[in-house]
Amino acid sequence: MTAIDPEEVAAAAAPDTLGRYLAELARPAGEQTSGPAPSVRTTEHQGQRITVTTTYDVVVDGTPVTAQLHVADSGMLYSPALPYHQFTSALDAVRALMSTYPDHFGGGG
Amino acid sequence: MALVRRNILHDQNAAKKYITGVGLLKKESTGRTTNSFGIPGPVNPVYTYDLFVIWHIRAGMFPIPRNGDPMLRNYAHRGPVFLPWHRLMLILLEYNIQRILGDSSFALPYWDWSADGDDGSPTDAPIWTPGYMGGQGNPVSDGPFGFFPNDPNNFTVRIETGSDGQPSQAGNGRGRGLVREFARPWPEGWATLPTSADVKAALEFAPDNPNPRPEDRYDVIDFSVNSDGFRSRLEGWRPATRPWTHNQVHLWTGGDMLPMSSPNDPVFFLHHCNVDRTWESWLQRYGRIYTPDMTAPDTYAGERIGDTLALPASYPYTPKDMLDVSNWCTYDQLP
Repeated sequence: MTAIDPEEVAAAAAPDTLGRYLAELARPAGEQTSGPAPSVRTTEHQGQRITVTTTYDVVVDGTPVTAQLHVADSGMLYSPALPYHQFTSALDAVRALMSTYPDHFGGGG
Repeated sequence: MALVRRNILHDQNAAKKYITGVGLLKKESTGRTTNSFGIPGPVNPVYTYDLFVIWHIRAGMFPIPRNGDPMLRNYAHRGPVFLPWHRLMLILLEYNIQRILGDSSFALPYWDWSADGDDGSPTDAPIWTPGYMGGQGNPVSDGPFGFFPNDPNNFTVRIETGSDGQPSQAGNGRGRGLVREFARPWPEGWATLPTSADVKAALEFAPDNPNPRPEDRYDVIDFSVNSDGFRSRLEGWRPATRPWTHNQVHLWTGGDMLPMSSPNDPVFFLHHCNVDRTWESWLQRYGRIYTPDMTAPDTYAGERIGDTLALPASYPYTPKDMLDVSNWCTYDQLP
């Protein structure tokens, strides 16, 4: 195993190093976009290819919601705005988003 | 000589140094501004502590594989890299506190949340008293990270994530106070903290497989929220019936601990120090092993044992480097 070198830690931890690195990441490839995005699930069954594309269009009080919901192969739902949650219900997901981000939903929370 | 990380409730000196160090890093200008990091809104200075907030957000946006979905797995979460990535983050924060205090003996303390979980998850536990992290509130209004009207030394949250998961400026660029909302019911949060039995169950997890490899205890294909192993159980995805351990602590604490900007709450690092302590216990029980190795396909590039822990490859560290950091730090006690 490689031991941790304190000099390497000092170099990596320096605010200028970390800041320069993060500035380079400012617009990463694959960055997420706002608004509904499709979740594409694929598998094979009895020699045939299955593709299931799911898009959640969420509207609150007539206003489209920019928060994204993704569904995994397991059927569980995730949102990048709530990275430590997993949901079995899209309604629960939207309830949690509204409580966590009340200012983004007209402050009703 | 290696640092010894201790329970914050048993080491008042470490607690004071941590609080002082965080306060100083919150005021240390990096010389860069929000626009340097692609964060929209008015141009505002960025301070050293907030670099860790931005880093955590960005790492959570990078999918593995690069053309994949960060909600499947990303450079910091939802896969085997979760534990080594956060170990590196702790070391770099710890070093910065040492630097700004001029004290190379400083070691990050940990919050043993399982002790509070065993005690019924009290919202007035010692960790939440004004001498430690302060309590809950919107904003928090006591302790070292409280927000007090007209006080120029307020602990201010400046960078956050919006409901779209993207980085933004808190308070439209004016900043705001820290928010904690303990023990909210599902789906807003979670009513209890993990217990020592939960930690024990994660540590003792064994794969239900007639011929498991040693590393199968840690993780298995497809190395995601769905794969069962110690990593996924400690991160808190499995069993998928409810939030567990690491995730559960984020949900119980609530407020600023819920989004990817969760390092805004200084308790984040005390929490992750305890997660890291649990990983160290696992490594000492079962060997300093990790999976996937470098024979895994490019689908897992960024998760494999020899891949660099961040992009671009400006840091030399890999998951392999994080498996044994005993020359840097140890723990006073392991679960």
